[in-house]
Amino acid sequence: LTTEAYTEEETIRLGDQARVAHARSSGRRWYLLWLLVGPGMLAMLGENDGPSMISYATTGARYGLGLFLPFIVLTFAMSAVCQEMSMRVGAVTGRGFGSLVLERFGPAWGWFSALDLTFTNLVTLIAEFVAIRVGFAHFGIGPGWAALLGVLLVVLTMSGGRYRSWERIVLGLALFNGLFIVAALVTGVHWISHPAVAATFLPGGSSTTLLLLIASTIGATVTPWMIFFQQSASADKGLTHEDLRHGRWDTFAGAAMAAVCGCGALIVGAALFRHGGGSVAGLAGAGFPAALHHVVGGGVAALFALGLIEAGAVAILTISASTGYAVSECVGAPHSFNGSLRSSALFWMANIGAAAIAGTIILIPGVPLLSIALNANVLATVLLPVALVFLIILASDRELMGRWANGRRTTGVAIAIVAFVTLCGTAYAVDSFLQAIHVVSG
Amino acid sequence: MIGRASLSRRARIGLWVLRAFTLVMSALVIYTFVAGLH
Repeated sequence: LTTEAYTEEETIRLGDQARVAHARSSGRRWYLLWLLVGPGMLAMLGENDGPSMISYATTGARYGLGLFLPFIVLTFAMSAVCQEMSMRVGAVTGRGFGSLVLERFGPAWGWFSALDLTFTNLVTLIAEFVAIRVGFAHFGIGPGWAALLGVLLVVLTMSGGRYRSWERIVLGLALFNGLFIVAALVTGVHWISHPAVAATFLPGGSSTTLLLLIASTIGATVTPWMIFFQQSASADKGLTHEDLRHGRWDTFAGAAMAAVCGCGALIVGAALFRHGGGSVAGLAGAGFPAALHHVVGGGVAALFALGLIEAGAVAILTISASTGYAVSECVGAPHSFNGSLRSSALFWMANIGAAAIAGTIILIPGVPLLSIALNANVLATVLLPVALVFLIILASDRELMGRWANGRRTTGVAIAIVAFVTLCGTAYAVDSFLQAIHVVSG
Repeated sequence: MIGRASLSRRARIGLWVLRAFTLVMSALVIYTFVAGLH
């Protein structure tokens, strides 16, 4: 075959793969690693998004560190198991999650998956704009700018016409998730070393609120969009079975970095534990930056606000991308950052359209900001089991995956994760519903 | 194009049950969220 047999996006991908092959054959290990990292770190740091960081901080403010510090580490370990499967399926098959579900299980399941994802992504994207809006508000910048920034970022990062340039820009932005670590370090030990903050392993209070925060914390680390995104991005990047070792490194390093940054947000929130942290949720619009400014100081508040802007911005880029991949894959349309607006029109429209709709919604006066942010994660948790089950079936499918299929141990761990996520999501959904209809009291 | 997976009848029923279950749970979460707004 000559290069004329390939589409424009395939030619670009082949060029990227040739660069990887050259780095591998010439023994340039660090350069090879640099070329291959991306989808895993973006999925993990992208999921340390606005609602997740607000959720972690809310948790720290209400319950201290005792239960949730180890719980966040556990959820990221769960996430690493799921995302490794996602990367592996994408690299071995060269197909996105939506395409594979459609081809392997039929159009009904393909469309269900895409519709579920589009709906949860829209809700989550609203929450991302809310996070940017909260961060901007701390610096006296209006909500219109938050909406404009988010949509502009999506358009500008796509306009390079290369997956590689898109990935590097977003990766550069994602490193600023480290602002939450800096904020935690600046907060200092004296705010969180009090026994009441550090040793609250079995928190009291409302069971619904605790379940909301547990489900929300799971939804902050294992989500349907991450599965769609990492598998499709791995395929778009041109990863192959030869790249699995680096893909795993990318995924596990991303999980470790995201867990540390997430714990940073929890620690910052815990500084409010003995200063009315339980009522911080009620601050909604001004939220955490204002509370932190009052209790810890202006520096930490500014870092937290900047962190929220970064977290929201990166998540808007990755979640919009997963929407673009899912919608395009389900109708069999071209879906690549290597494609132009003309050749991948639906991918571009879905990507930008999702961000534009969400950005418009946050401009509506009186929108319940914090409630949307927390419930976006819960909704993702409740809808996650179906996507996870399909991922496990695909990753265990020897006909599809050959010798790279799941072993029994990986499948067993993955099934345990599905059971745990389902249990937590169901517990919150049922408990909060019964309270909403006044059958039980909180 | 990749061929269809051959799922047993029990597996297909299990997937539909899980699908219905998650939809019901989602409806509960959305109801609770809307109820909380009032």
